[in-house]
Amino acid sequence: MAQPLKKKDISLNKVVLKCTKVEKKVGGKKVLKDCSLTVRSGELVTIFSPSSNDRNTLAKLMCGLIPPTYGTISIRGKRAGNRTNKLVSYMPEVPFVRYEDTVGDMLTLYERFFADFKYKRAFRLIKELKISTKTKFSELSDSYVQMVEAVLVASRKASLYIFDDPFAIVDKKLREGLIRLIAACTRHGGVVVLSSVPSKILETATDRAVFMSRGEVLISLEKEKIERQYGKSITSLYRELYGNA
Amino acid sequence: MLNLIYYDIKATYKRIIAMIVILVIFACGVRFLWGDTFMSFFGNTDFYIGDVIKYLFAGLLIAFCGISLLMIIFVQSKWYDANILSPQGQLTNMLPVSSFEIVLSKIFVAFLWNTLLTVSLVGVCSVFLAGTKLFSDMLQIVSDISIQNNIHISFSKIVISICVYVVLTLTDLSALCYLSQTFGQMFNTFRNLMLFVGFIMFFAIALLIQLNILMLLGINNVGAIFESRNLTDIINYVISTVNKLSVTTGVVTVIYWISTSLILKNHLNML
Repeated sequence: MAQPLKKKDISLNKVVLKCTKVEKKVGGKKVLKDCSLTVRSGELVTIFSPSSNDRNTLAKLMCGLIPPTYGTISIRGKRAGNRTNKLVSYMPEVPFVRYEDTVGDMLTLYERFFADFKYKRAFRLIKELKISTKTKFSELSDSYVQMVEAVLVASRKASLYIFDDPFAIVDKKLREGLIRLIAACTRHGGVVVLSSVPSKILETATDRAVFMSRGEVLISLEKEKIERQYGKSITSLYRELYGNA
Repeated sequence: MLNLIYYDIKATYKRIIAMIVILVIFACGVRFLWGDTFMSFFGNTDFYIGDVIKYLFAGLLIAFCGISLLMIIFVQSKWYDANILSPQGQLTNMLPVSSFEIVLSKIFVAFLWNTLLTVSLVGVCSVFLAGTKLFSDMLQIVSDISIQNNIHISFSKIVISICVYVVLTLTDLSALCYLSQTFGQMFNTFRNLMLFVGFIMFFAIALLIQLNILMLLGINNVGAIFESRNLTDIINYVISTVNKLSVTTGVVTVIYWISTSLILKNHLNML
C-alpha cells in the first residue's frame, strides 16, 4: 500500500470539521459533555476512549447522522447533516454491507452514488487483499469484511474521513495495511480515527490525539506537545489513563 | 433517485416475483381442478370427493391471495427497516441524497410491486373465471342492465377503477408502515410499542383527513342517491366514489411520505 506523503504545516490548512461545545443526551442522560474539536485538512486525529458508547455517539455526530442536543458541528463551514454527506466518508463500527451482496456489487454502488469514488484504486486494493469481486460478503470473515469496507471508504476523495474503531475486528496481520490505508486519506482531507486500542504504527501516523472518558475530553493535544508536556508517547499515556482497558 | 430505485428493486424482487409466480401456478392448478378434465377422473360425477378437492383448493387460493397482499407489505417493511433503520442505514443515510428521495424511492417501488401484484390477482381471477358459466353470466347481467337502462357500463372501466384503488390503498398501507417504523425508531427501548401506537395514531388521523376531503368532494348524499333507485345515478355514484377514494388515498400517501422524510431528516436514532 502507498506510503503517506510527508506532511506540511497542518496549522495553515483549511478546517474541515469543527465541533463546538457539543453535548448529546440519550434518554435524559448526558452521553457526551462539552466536546470541542477541530480537524484540519491533512490532519489525522485519533480519539481514544475505552467506551464504545462515547466513540459511536461522537462518530455519528461528526458525520451528521444524528443531531447534537447542544452545540454545533460544521463540516467545511456547513452544518453537519444530509447536505454534508458528499463531503464525508464514514466507516461505522459495525458492518454496513448487505451480506447477500458481492464485493463487486458494493464497488458498483459506491461508484454510482459517489462522484468522488475512485473505482480503479478500490479495485486494485481489493485485488491486493486477494479477494475476488464475485465473492459474497457472507463468504468473507469479519476481518476481511471490515477491510473491504475500509477500502471503499478510503477510496473516496472526501473532505473528512471518519473511521469508527476500525481495528476492533481486523486481524493483527492486516492492521498495518489498514493503518497505512487510513493515513493515505490525509492526502485529500482530514481524518478522524476513533479507537479503543493504541498502536505504535497508528501513533506514527497520528498528528493529534484526543483522550476521552465518560463522554468528556480529558486531553486534546498534538503528538509532539504530548511528548513534551507528559514526557510520554501516545501509547504510554493511553496506558496510564485507561490502564489495561 | 434512479439509483435508489434500482437498489430497492434489486433487494426485493426475488421474494416478490417468487410469490407472484407461485400465485399464478396455483391459480392455473385450481383452474384445472375446476375443469371437466379433472372431474372425468371420477367416473361417477356424483362422487363428492372431487367437489371437496375443488372447493378446498379454491379456498386455499383465495387465502393465498389474501396472504400475498399482506406478504408484499411485510417484505417491503422488512427491507425499509434493514436498509434505513438498521446497521445498513449507516450507509444509506450517508448517501449524498436527501431523506425525501430515500423514502420516495421506497414508496415508488412499493407502488410498482403493488401494481404487479394487483395485475397478477386480476390475472388469477381471469384464469379462474375464463370460459366458465359464472363469468359469462356476469357479463350477461352487465349487458342486460346497460340495455334496459339505456346506459353504457364499461366492465373494463369498473375493473380498472377498482384496481387503481387497490394499488393506491396497498401503497398507502406501505407508506403508513414506513411512517410507523420511522416514528417507533425515535424511542429506543419502546421502539416496537411506539411503532404499533404510531400505526394506530397515523391511521386514525389519515382516516379523518380522508373523510373531510370526501365530504368536500360531495360524497355525503349517499342515502338520497340509493333512495332515488335511479340505476344510472347509482352506478355513476359508485364509480365516482371509487375514483374519489383513490384521490384521497393518494393525498394521504403524500402526507405519509413528507412526514416520514421529516422525521428521518431530524430525528434519526442510529445509536
